[in-house]
Amino acid sequence: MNATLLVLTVAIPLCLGLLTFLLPRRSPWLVSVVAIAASAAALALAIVIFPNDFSVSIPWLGFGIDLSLRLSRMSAFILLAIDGFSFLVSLYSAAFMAKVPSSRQFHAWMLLTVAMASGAVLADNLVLLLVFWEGLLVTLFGMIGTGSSRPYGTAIKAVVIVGITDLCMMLGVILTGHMAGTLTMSAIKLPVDGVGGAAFILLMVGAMGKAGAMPFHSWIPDAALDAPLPFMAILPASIEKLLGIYFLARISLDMFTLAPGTWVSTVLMVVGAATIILAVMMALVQKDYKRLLSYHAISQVGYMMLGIGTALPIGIVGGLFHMINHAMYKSCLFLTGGAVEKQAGTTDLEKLGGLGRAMPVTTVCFLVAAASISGVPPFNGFFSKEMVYDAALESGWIFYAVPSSGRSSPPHPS
Amino acid sequence: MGRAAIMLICVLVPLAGAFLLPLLGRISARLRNVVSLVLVLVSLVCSLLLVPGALRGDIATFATGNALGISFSLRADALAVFMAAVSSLVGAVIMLFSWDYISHYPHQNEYYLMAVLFLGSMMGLVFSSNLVFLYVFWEITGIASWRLIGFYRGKTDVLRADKAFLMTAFGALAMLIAIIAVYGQTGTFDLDAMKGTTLPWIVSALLLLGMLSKSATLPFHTWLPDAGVAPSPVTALLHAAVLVKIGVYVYARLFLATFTVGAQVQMAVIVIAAASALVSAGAALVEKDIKRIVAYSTISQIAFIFLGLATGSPIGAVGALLYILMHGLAKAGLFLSAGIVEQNAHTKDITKLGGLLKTMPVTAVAFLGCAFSVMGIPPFGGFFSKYMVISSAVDAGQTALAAVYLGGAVLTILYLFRLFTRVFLGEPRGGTAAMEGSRLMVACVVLLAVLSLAGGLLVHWPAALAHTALLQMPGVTR
Repeated sequence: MNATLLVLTVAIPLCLGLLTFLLPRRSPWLVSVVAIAASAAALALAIVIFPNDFSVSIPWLGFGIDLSLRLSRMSAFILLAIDGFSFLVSLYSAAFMAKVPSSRQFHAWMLLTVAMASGAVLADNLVLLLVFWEGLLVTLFGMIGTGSSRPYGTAIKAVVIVGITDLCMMLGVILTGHMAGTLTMSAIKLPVDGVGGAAFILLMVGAMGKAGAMPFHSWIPDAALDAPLPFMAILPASIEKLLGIYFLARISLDMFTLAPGTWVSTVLMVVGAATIILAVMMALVQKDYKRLLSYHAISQVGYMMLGIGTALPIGIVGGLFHMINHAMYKSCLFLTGGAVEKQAGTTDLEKLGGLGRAMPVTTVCFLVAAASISGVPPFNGFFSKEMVYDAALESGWIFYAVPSSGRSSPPHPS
Repeated sequence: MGRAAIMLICVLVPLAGAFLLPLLGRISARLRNVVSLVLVLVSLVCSLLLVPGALRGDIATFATGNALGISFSLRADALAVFMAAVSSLVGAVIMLFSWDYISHYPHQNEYYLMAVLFLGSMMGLVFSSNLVFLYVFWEITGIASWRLIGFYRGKTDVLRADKAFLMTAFGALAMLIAIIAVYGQTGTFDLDAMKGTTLPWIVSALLLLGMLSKSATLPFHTWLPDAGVAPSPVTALLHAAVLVKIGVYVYARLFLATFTVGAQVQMAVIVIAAASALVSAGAALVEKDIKRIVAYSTISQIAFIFLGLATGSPIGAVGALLYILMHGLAKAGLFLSAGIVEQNAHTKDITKLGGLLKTMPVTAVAFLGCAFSVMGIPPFGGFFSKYMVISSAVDAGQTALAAVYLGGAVLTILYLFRLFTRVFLGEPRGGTAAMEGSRLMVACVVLLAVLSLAGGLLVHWPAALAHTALLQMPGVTR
């Protein structure tokens, strides 16, 4: 029973996603119904299994490569978030993509993405994790490819960049498995020194590539223009961040022992701080709503990495809290972007203006999300950022000063 | 029917049947085409029938009278059955593809004769348990490939065919000397009887010369890109099903399943293969001819197979066998798609191609699927083999070399995407837009892409057979 439920969380979106490819092209409503039903079913399942602690393991390829899934506290939480966001985004895109000819492919790829992401979160074997993790490359390619005007260049750029980080992660997995003598994630406990440090850095590169931290970010702003808009809300803004930071947290808290003040902790904080400040500077000069938001999404990864990198309890909690907050408000911002695009016909900031009166509900939602992302109390962004700042201050003033200056640049209201 | 009989049918039917094909061709071209496919399918079905027994670890043997210590003896262990099934599966799809591809060229009778003989001698080589017959079949594949590469009979075609023949035959000659030396040491040609013999390094090196030249590994690789002048089904046969896989198969057969070789030979192979992987991937990145790019990609991927075999660890051996399967399926798909593009656009030059995604969508998607498999992106099969092979390098303590091979994997992603971009994306160049190939040809390419995907989703089936093969290899350190 436990095993069935766990497998179903991956199998339902997977099978229905494949089915969606086969649905008749002429009935978009059927596609929408199947997509929404599938993501609703996945969400319901995630809620049902949330309080449990399941695990299942089936021998597969030998050499310690097993089909093992495990629902821990953390993965249950991330799974719920993935299924929740994907449900909302599939509702949104049922309306947003209704007239687009590629809506069938988009929904199908999105369900497959959800399946891969759920698998990656539940996997308890490093190789199985890698299968789902790199499988996201295919769905990434497919999703960007459903964009309107010649999106394949961007899709290839994305797959090449993320693919290279994934190959680094593969070496990290191999090294970790070699040292630990097992590939079962919950059984690995390694020190971060020498080869262990190299393995950690390689795994960290994999997590960063997925989360879109600098210097592996450059495809995201391109995708913002070329890919369909709901793609931005579901992948770079929520699922990829959730996965990347989930894995970063897993390796720094669970599989390796990351101590405050070690060089690895410093590396994480430096990368985090650099990502925050550089991406925000890039965001300031953007002239397109969607590119601006995507640079903001990149800069927010910096907070999560900084928080986890401090290796202090408050920083880690802040980083994880920020991860979920960010997914919430960044999806919201991207979706308001979609509403603007749909109504105004453009997302060029120089051509936009005065939409507050015409689109009051969207504007209010935008303001709430923007206030939250800027860390204005009492919105959630304030608390998570505050926790990260506390931890950063404790680790060194420079890690406090740099991100704080990055904070003073909220997105332009349109 | 006993397993030995099935094995005999698997080898003899295509070998003997091949010579019937020119006669049948006189009666009806269609009949000849169908029979040629049937002959290969017989091999496929027979090798699949041998799989359940091989999974149990049974070994079927067959041997005739013993003259001068040379007996025609066949042996079906898990390694042989695995290789036979892979070769005949890929070979069957390629034969089906040839029906439409070859249909408007002269010398078709010879084509079908040589192609089936090629696959038949591969079956013979795979099941041989006698060094002399292994060598005989080795040379038959050389002769068949010589005729097939020179299929178009132009001046360069013939020269390139001669080059391929001379380079592989030179390697085979070195191997022949080594075989005589082995006889001098053991007093037998029977592989089973000489199990566990430790070879002197010079003999191993001579054997290695033969394998490296057949598998087109640095520095004996130059004939393979040049062989791209052949028709696409032929290059697919050379790259995916038969010729270059012979070298790696014989490596596994001799150095893992029969002899024990010194650590320095293994180390040398790992280093040579690493150089081969990087150099040829770099060449693939700058070439302008579709088929040469894919050919350099083969050289680079073969290096990964050698890595898995040479580390001598269990995970490496299983990974290398899976690699042979996954690479065979995906590379055949790439070559056959290249063939469709070449035939319909009338050029192989990527600077003159472009925008074919619009006119050839199915081929483009199939090409992409096969490319994903070669790049090693799950859920395509190539991922698992690549993971295992690189993992074996780390297990052997060669972390730095594993990183070098990963560099090769990065280059793989780059050159395949470069090829895809130039051929299928952008604006059509050179006037007339090429149309999709014939339905049968496109179906073959799609089948190979689907098999690449299935190879990943159902990877535990071939892996189980590879695990059994592992148990029969004394050369693998455990």
